[in-house]
Amino acid sequence: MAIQETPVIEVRNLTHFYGQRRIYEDLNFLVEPGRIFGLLGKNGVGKTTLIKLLMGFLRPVSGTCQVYGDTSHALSPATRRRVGLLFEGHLAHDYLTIAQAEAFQSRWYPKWRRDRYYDLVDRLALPYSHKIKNMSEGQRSQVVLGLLMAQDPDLLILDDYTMGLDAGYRRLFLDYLTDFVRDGQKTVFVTSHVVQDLEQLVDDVIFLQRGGTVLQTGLSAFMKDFCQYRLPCPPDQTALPTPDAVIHNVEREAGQYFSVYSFHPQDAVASALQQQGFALPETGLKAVPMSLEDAFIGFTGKY
Amino acid sequence: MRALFLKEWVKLRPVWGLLLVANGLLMLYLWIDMRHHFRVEHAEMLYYQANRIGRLFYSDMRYAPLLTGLLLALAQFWPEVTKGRLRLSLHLPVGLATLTLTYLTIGLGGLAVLLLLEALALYGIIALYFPIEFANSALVTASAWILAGFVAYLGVTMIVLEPGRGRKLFYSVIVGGLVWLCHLAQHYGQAAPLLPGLIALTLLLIPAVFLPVFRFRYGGRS
Repeated sequence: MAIQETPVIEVRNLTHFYGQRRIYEDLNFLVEPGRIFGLLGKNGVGKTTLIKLLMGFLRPVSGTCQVYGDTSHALSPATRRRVGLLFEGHLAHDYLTIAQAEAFQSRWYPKWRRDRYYDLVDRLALPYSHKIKNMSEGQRSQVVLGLLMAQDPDLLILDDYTMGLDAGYRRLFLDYLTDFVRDGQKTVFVTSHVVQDLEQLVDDVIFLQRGGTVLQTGLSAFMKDFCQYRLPCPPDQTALPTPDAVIHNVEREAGQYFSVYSFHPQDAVASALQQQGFALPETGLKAVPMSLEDAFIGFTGKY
Repeated sequence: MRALFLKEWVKLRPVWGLLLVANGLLMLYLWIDMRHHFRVEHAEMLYYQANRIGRLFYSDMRYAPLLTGLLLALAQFWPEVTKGRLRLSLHLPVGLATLTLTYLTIGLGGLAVLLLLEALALYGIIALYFPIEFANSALVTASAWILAGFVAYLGVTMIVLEPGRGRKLFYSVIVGGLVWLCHLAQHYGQAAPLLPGLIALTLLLIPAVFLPVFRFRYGGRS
């Protein structure tokens, strides 16, 4: 009989409110070891709140979050040692110097990889006596990433690592993350505003929507099943198809087009459109190639 | 814990140094002021004022320990809370109680050194011009003010770390009352009967700090 691995993260029936505002209701998902999870959602859907709940900085109204089998608001020091946590805004003890930050963090983690830290930090070409608070956002992100990589955690949780980073630093971050995951049985749970960055990185995605609805799926399955169909939309046409059991979402596009998004096969979408009185193009309905960002917009809506 | 001590020392060093200089300058001023009194007035007149009228020649330092404790607590915890850095420490693989105690030990230790130096300087200045009994009495009188420094440190720590506004207000009232009690005595020796009670109340603030820390850790719930 195969031994079932404990999930890295297990969220069961999670419900959370801010005052009267419902953030999630009955949220459930699992994060298996060795996978890279992208948590996607628009601003304000509760991505950072979910990370705070997972790390025990908030207690849920009801339901449970477990990390390596520990209840999230009672994580043992041993479990926290296994989790590398990047806080939004590349939070750091910015009054420390490059060398002091390494000296401080290294005391807490037995698997500390000093070489990883200095590999990243040496690229900054700054003296080790340079204070973190005197660095740019990109430079600080590199120090923080170095500290996380040196910690050699089993689970890396990154809360919007892209914030304030230019394309070069984002790419560097992604390269290091990719190498980190290849290095062993590592699990990554990442949120980002720059959705296209995650396309090359993540295995699974969790889409969070307002009100707490959630879709957890493999990225390749999602990109295969979720399709975009583009139809002409003359300037005088005001009515658009209405989402139904087949049509997930409809968005008006620039250049006199509208896009229909669906998880259903082409025939079913064509039939649904015709039932709503929309004529199909003469060439028939064809799926348009999509990036993850296109699919994200299609799934969650533009606004 | 050595790592935490080192980190906190790096953070507090500039403010601690400034407070040391500021308190040093205040004590220097007290000494110059005292020397001036003894130059322009007869010693017996000053002894009379101190002994019979109860004039405190060192009352200018009355609120210095309070300000020292308050500023040290703000320097230690205000940026941690407003910049969110406290969450970094709370994620370290160490128990919350141990972490809290370490932070408090560092802060209270730094404050104790500053206030001890201040008390020693006061004792030295008074002993330089007055009989030793006056110096002993000055220490007792200043002890209540020094306790106010510890109350301010612990109280401000509680208020800053507490996530709920209502509780912040409640703590402010309690701490304000304790600080008022510490400054109640107007003449030398008056504070002596209050000291054991004040010490006990101040010590009670140490475990009381744990509640806002736990509430901060778990997002505002006890």
